[in-house]
Formats: sequence, structure tokens, C-alpha cells
Amino acid sequence: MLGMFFWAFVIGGLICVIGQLMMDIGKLTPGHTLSAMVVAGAILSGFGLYEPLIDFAGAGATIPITSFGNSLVMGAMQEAEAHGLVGVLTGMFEVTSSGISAAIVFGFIGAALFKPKG
Amino acid sequence: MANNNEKKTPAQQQYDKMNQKHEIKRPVLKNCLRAFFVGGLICIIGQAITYFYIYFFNFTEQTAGNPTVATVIFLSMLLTGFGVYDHLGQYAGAGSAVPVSGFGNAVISAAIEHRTEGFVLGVGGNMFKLAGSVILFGVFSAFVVALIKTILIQWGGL
Amino acid sequence: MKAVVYILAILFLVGCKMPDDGPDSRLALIKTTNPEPIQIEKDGASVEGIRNEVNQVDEIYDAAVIKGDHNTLVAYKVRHLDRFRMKSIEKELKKHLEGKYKDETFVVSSDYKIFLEAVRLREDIDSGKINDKQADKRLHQLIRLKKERT
Repeated sequence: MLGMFFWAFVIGGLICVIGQLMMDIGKLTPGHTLSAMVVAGAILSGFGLYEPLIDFAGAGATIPITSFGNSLVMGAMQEAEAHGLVGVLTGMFEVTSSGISAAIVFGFIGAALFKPKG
Repeated sequence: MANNNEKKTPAQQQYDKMNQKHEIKRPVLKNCLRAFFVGGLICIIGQAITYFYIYFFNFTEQTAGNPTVATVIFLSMLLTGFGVYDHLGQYAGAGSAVPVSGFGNAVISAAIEHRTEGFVLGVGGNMFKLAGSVILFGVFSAFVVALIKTILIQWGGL
Repeated sequence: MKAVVYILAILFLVGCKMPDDGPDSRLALIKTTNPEPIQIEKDGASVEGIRNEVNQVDEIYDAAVIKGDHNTLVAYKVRHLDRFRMKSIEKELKKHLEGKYKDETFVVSSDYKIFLEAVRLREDIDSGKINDKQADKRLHQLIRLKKERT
């Protein structure tokens, strides 16, 4: 379990370093960087490489935005197994929904609670 | 842009040269170290939240990911609202942008910022101004990947 | 405004009650526990034998075995650097055990949660809190939890 914390730190940190390198050396804007990382997560998931990383690093792999691409693919694949090609479209948000719905709900609450800063 | 060099007046070329010389070198190594530590710390906090859900609620390692992400976004709402996350972002760069808390921050800060324009047109319309591209590219690439994989499995017997 | 947020945060934290854990389950995820196997259903293969079989696998270092009416639950921990291959270890172990004990059905899991619950069940049985029937019910809940996907 303590190893889990260590590897979560290392893997999570490394993914952030990759993002930082894309911003600094690749001269990408944060928006481009994040979009690229989500796409990278989806592709890794397609090759079946992201699940083992989650097994290994726990939150170190689920907290970075790359996991968003992974869980979209996982949801789509789960539904595709059950319902065939149509499932690809309908199952997409099956697994991911929590991140987006949390962002929407807390975004709304935040907007109601806090005042914009100058 | 680079091809337009011939059209530039000598003065402009001189300015370009001067600009290159004085352009601030990005301290890549320092930025990376900061991103590593802050990003890693956020992941440790996420791991602690995961174990919290495993210990006290009926979540397994497989299923604890979703409530963890929601909790991290909740924390990021508080930090964004109190203006802490912006400072963190200036210090850590990608270290605070790449974790989902950065995604949450993008959504929530856009929502707070446009609140004065009203809840429907302001908050509702601008919430995904920054984070929308992440969702768009995530969904579309996931669609393509899953489609290819499904076709390979069904007809290729993979 | 800030007060509202603080109150919400405090309510959230207070809402989580501490489960009354014994000394083993409190530390079950941190140190090697090696809990005594549980035999609810007395017929058939012995649980000690199954546990030894599981412990012989190189990548596994801590195993909890619960044998119930229909299913035998095996929860174990995988050495960290082998966690990359966790899914295939799970498949291999299931195949190996089912080849060895032909008339048992095995449910195999490397999930920390399942392991923790197995240790908690062991402690509840030891302290006489629950009888065999309730234990079997808990086992079924655990198996359902294991099969649940994201």
C-alpha cells in the first residue's frame, strides 16, 4: 500500500513533466497540451496499455487528464462488447460521466458561491 | 511566418534578431521539477482519497476511481473559489493543469468569471470555453479508437 | 460565504463514521497480514491447502481464503512491480486452482478492498459476532462487489 503512494507520486509526476515539456519545448498552449494528452490516453487505452498502468500506479494514472481518454474508450468498448458497433457511440460516457458531471455541478455551485475576482 | 523574411525591411530584421537575443529562456528544468512535485503531490492526495473510499465505503479499487475524481474536482472548486489554484498554476505549470483538478479549475473559473452575465448566458454558455476542447478531442479520439478496435475484434478475430 | 463552505466541508468529514476495526483489519493494507483462512462450508478441499497453493505463486505475498457454500473466494496481494501483469496473474491463478481442485468454483481477486473485507470477516467470526449463515451472506456480498465493474 505504501508502495502505491510512492508509484502514484512518481508516475503522476512524470505524466505532468511530459505535459510541461510539451508546453516548454513543444511551445504548445495549455489547451493544446491537455487535448493532446487526452488523445494520447485514448490511444494507449486502445492498445490495452493504460489499464496495467492504473493497476500499477493507482491514482498516479487515474488523476491525470490522460485517464479521461482511457475511461471514454473503456466505456465505449464495454458497450461495444454487449451491443456491437452502436455501443461505441452509446457507451462512451458510461464510465467517464463522473468527471464531467462533477465539473458541471461544482462549476455551477462555485459560480453561485464565489464572486469573480478583479 | 518564417518564409516572409525577405519581405521584411532591414529594420524589422534587426528587430527580429534583437528579439531572439532577448527572448526569455524558459527555465525548462526548473519548470519540470516543479511540475513533477506538484503533480505527484496531487496524485498522492488522490491516492489517499481512493483509500479513504475503499476503507469507509463500499468501493473497490476498480470502482473507487469515479468518486475520487469527483472529490478532487470538489476540492479544486474550493481552491479555485478562494483564488489559491491560480497561484498554484503560476508556480507549477503543467503540474496543476494536467491532473483532473486542472480540468475542474478550467471549468469552474470560467463559470465564476462569467457569472455577471447571468446564469444562462454567462455561466451556462461559457463554462466549457476552455475545457470544451478537452472533451471534444477526448470523445472524438475515443470514438475513433473504440470503433477501430471493435471492427478489428469483430471481423479480424483479434 | 466562506462560512457556508467550511460548514459543508465539516459536515462532509463528520458524516464518515469510523468502522470498529480490529487490529488486523486496520493495518491490513499496510503490512502482510496472512489471515487465517475461513471455512464456512466444511466439505471438500481444506482451505489451508488452497492457501498454501496460492502462496506458492511467486508474485503473490499475502492471501486470504474464504470457502463458502458454492464459491471459494481467494483474495491476495501482488508484489508491486508485478502489478503491471495483475490481470493475467488473476487469470492464471484461477485456471491453476480450478485445475487442481476440480469440484470447487473459485472467485479470485487482487483488489485491496476484497482483501480488507476478508480480514474484517475473519475478525468478526473470531470475536463471535456473526454465525456461519451471516458469514455466508457476507461472502456473497463480497463476490457481488468483486464482479461489479466501474
